[in-house]
Amino acid sequence: MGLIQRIIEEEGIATVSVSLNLAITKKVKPPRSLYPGFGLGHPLGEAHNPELQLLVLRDALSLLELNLEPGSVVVRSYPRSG
Amino acid sequence: MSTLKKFKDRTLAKVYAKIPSLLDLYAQRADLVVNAAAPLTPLPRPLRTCCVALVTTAGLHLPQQEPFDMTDKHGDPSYREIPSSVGIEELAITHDYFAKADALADPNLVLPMEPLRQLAREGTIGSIAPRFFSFMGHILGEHLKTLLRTTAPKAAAALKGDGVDAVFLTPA
Repeated sequence: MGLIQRIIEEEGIATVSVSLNLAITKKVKPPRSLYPGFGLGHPLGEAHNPELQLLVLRDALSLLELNLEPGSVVVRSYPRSG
Repeated sequence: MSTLKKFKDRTLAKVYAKIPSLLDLYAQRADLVVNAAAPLTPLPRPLRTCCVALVTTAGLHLPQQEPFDMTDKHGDPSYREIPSSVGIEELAITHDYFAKADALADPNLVLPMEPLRQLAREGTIGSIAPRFFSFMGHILGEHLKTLLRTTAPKAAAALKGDGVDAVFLTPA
């Protein structure tokens, strides 16, 4: 996914992604990422948890308005119901 | 053969879901693309006026679209266009490389269509792009070249043509 993100960014579109693994993200180096600490298959956190999904999406998009260094990964933790 | 592959892939996906630290071992694989620097395009205008699109590698598609090819060990570098107006419950997933039960139960987990609509309603973003793009993850070998040289640039150009200012991407 990070490789696709880089290509979209190179096309002249600002991008931000969710990272599910810091080691992979640091190697592939997409332009901007949010690492929320969720597992594979769960980039927005939990199924049927619209509040958490909205929070993660809102936080990720907000990174677009920050003056981050290229390749930045922002680490945040989120409350989970389970 | 394809049945055996499917069983192996789905079993591995469950193992990765149970033991996330295994992903760190995967990250050490020599064939993972390593980049020294990242490109950066600044947001052209405030987010509240931007047109936003979603892109995922979770293998989502509409039921009437051709499913992704899960039999090729190098993956499937193609993508499916998903009109942003479809209902989230209309989406199917063809992807054996992650434990997808939760994403099948609520596709917003991997393609947050309803959260994005909420952000548009409240004015956090300006508008939603007319279409989203869905890929597979885990693309290897010759198919990786096709992804990087052909299909991903084609999707990026389509996003640009749609007037998209910002893209939110999700792996699976």
